[in-house]
Amino acid sequence: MTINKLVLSLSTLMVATSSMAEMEAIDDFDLSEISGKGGVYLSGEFAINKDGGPLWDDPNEVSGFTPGTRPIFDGAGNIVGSEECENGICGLRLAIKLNENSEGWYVLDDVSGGMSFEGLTLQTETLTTATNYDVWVDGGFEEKAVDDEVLKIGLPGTITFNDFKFKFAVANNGEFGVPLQDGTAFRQTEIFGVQLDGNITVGGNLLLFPVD
Amino acid sequence: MKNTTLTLSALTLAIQAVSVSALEALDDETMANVSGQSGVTIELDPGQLDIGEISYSQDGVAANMRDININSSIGSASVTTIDIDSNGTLNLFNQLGAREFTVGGVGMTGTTGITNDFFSLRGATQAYSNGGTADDFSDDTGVFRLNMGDDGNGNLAFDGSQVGVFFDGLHFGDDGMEWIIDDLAMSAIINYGRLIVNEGNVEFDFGTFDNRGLRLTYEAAAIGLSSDPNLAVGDYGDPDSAGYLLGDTFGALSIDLEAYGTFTIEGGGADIGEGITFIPALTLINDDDDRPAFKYTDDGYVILARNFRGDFSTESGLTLDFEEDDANNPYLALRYEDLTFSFSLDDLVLGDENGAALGSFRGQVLFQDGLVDGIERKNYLHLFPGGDIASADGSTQQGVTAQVGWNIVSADPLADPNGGDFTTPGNFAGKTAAESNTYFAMNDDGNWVYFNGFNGWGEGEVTLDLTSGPDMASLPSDYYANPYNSATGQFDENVGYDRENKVGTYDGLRIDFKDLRGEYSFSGVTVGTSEEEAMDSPYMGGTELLLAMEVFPSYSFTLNGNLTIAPGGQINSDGVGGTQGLTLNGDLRITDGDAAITVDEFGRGVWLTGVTYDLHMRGASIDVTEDGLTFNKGLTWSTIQVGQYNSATGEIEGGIIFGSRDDGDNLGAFTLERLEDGTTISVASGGAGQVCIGGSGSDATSCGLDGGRFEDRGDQGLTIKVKAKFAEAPTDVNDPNYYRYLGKGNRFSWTQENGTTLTLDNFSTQDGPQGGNDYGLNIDLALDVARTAVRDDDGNLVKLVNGEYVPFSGTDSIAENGPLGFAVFGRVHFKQLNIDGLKIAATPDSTPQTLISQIIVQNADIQANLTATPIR
Repeated sequence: MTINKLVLSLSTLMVATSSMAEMEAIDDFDLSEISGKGGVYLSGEFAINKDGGPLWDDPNEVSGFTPGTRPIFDGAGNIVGSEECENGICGLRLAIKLNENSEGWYVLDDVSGGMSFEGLTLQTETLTTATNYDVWVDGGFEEKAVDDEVLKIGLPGTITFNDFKFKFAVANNGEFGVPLQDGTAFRQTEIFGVQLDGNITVGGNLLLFPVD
Repeated sequence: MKNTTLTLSALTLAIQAVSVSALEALDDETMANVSGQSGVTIELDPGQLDIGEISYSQDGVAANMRDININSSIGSASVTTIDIDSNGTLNLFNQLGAREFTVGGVGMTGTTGITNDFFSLRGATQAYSNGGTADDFSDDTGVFRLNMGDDGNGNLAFDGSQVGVFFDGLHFGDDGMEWIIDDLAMSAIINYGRLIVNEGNVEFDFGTFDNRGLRLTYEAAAIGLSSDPNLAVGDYGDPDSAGYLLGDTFGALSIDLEAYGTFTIEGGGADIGEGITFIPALTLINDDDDRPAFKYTDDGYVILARNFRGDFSTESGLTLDFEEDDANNPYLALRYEDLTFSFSLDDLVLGDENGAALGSFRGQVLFQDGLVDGIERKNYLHLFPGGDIASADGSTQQGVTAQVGWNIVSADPLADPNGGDFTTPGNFAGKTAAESNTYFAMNDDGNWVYFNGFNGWGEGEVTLDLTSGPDMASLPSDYYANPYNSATGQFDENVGYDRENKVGTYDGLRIDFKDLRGEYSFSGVTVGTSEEEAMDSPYMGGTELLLAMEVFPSYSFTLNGNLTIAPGGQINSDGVGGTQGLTLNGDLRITDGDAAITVDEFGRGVWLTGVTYDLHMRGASIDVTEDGLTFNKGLTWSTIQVGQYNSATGEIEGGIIFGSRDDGDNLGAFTLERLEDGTTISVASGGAGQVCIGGSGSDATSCGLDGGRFEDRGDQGLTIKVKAKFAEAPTDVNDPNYYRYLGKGNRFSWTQENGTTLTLDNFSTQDGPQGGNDYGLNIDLALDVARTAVRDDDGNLVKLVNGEYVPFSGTDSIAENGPLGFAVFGRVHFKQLNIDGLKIAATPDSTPQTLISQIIVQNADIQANLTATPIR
């Protein structure tokens, strides 16, 4: 077998007629040979730092630190300033340095908020005659028929975003507020920020399976 | 049909080289104490008793006790009164005297003379005491009371009989080490007992639910270990004082149960020849709110169970035979073609004795011999005298070797009779679904969640030995060795503490696993307000939500290695005396593993195949604390290898498989190496409590104002917290952790089928820019059964009526009418996670290129608050 890619076949989002695929797990369009529907119907929420996070909300962090703020240190580890988080809720910070020799970091900063849904389904089944999909093979897309066991994620129709926000920034250090070893003060430039509130509609199914 | 002859040869007592002075103790002085008015009273001083051997044989194989000695210079007289009352009932009342005894060996001898011992024994008992209550027999010790008469129906009645004993100390010896129980009180009282001789068997009738025949109690003040075989038996001091001779202990244990039902004994075992068959149909019960059924105490905190009921039943019976293997090694064989054990437990308390209960639990295990793919799956336990590790000079080989096999079954799932796409728990012919499934169930605020349709089988060898560990001041060089080599991706079979050659052992009870093969699977989760409803409900996934705990919905494995359990945990909650709890050291390796990430009831899903899991623990512990039950992994290093890239063929062997684990599609192989120091896993009562889904707010009003849906999941439920502390190996040789962490790390690599390998290198947790590693990476799981929002095709909220979803009517609400689901509130939170880089290589063997040089994640609190319901 020469299977080497995982296709998140977003292209097979079957938004079509019914966005409530979880209640009629086999439609005409799908298949005739499904057995064992041991899947789950999930309702609930995914959230990131919706009430803050452990690093910048712990009152015992360091002396002179105010919860709900992000401290800025000097070379000796003393707090020399701070940045207040929006509504006192500090988000997650993900910092990436691509090149070892570079001094710059790409930062996805202050990620917080939640998304809630009713009816995300998760099940495994064999799709033998379902829709074709595009797969990246040797530098180009090829259309292939699904004839495989798939992990089927039935999308819930409506996803509600609740104060979901993040910022994209660049900084001279991955750890917020920490100066460089040569004493250069911490610096961060915010490029743009995104805030999401309200509903988006995502129906159909997300299929997850390995392909040749 | 069983052999119905009760084999008398089984009662052969071979007493050799005997000096039975105790049986001649009726001297003039003693005779003076015998009065002949109302019965007879006999007083016996402790006489010197030396018995060379007592043996009991079946088919030429004998179980024996040798070198039995009772010390005449210690103890007090025992007084026996024998009387026959006006009903013609024999009343024998023996007030036992204090005794000190030793047994050189308890073992077995085969037909060719091969002899080995399970253990030796030393003990000291106290004289008769009525516990300060003349009317209450349950606290009597040092007593043997036999009331034997006719019940009027031609059966023997034993009502009012009892046996009680109090050991100041009881020592089980294994090659110079001793397992010691301090202040052990045991009592059995027959309130109602009948011996009925039927054609072909003897039946003991112990009454009914309303007339419970037996009361059984067991209470041990402390359980510890000693490496001094000459430690005086009896008085070790106070377990809660500094000078306690046993030092750290496992803690205290008490059991208090009543029993009723029948217990039948037939002659003849599983095979032709001699043997015994036991057919229990017994219920063990304690429904008294004031007396816990089980209580384990660790430094003042408890695991306590109230309102317990356990039922044993078997049609075929349990057979007991003495046999020999091909090399004429004798063993005791216990077999059962079928056995059902079910239990229910209303209150389980972890932590403070007066704290909140975890809720109610219920479970059932169905053992049944079977034949799958032409291979017999049998239930048996073969106990061989002698363990795996001999005494230091090699002169003795005590311990236990057990060859064990089990087959646990459930009925196949049943297709929805109405043609729906789902399946429900199945049933065996003539039985209900509740009687036909192996399950574990938890009640949360009145609702049940069943982990249902469990099937599992396995077999292999386990040995038990008492061992002593190395001097911590001069540790062997391989004590912290890691057999996995990241550079080659291979395990070195010759590296790792005590893999094969037994050069190193730890203090404690050592359990060795040798090629223990097994597998298990769950059909799924069902929920309901009652057992009936849960057994009618469609199977759904849900065990996937426990993957963070490394609980897989389905798993097959071969286990090798050892685990040593020593007394004394790592947390001394009450700060007095020694530390109580369990300390664990071990080196374990699972090979040929297949684990499901998600799987349906027909075995299709996402599988991890060709799994090798190599795990080493030093100084791990299990303690009961005010927070519940805490497992501290101590210093743990492990490697999980899922599939492997074969450089010679360019193929992946095993790996992540989609579909059927035998012929599904492959996503490649991965390896996860971990180095953890101080990771804890704790279990406590209480689930998620009040939650706001889709918003923030601590009450219904504020949650609603923020656009959320407020849910109160009640006080009950279960919370599991994993606090992982990933460590980073220091480069400074003077660092105290340099040798402990050497050659280990945290690394994840994924190799695709074409060989391309992605590696996340050297990840570790940190308490923020200021350093330290106390907070760790936390995974919190709160488990509840809760009502949730389910919508139909048209987006209407629905409720369950007669097994069908129907839309809500006017006043219906999710909290009152929503379908029941298995609710898991999972949180991953950490202060800082450092990853040294993401690298890519053409093959696992080639030089990697750096894609990302460094990753830092700070201030993370990621939550998934999901309720799972079946897909109907």
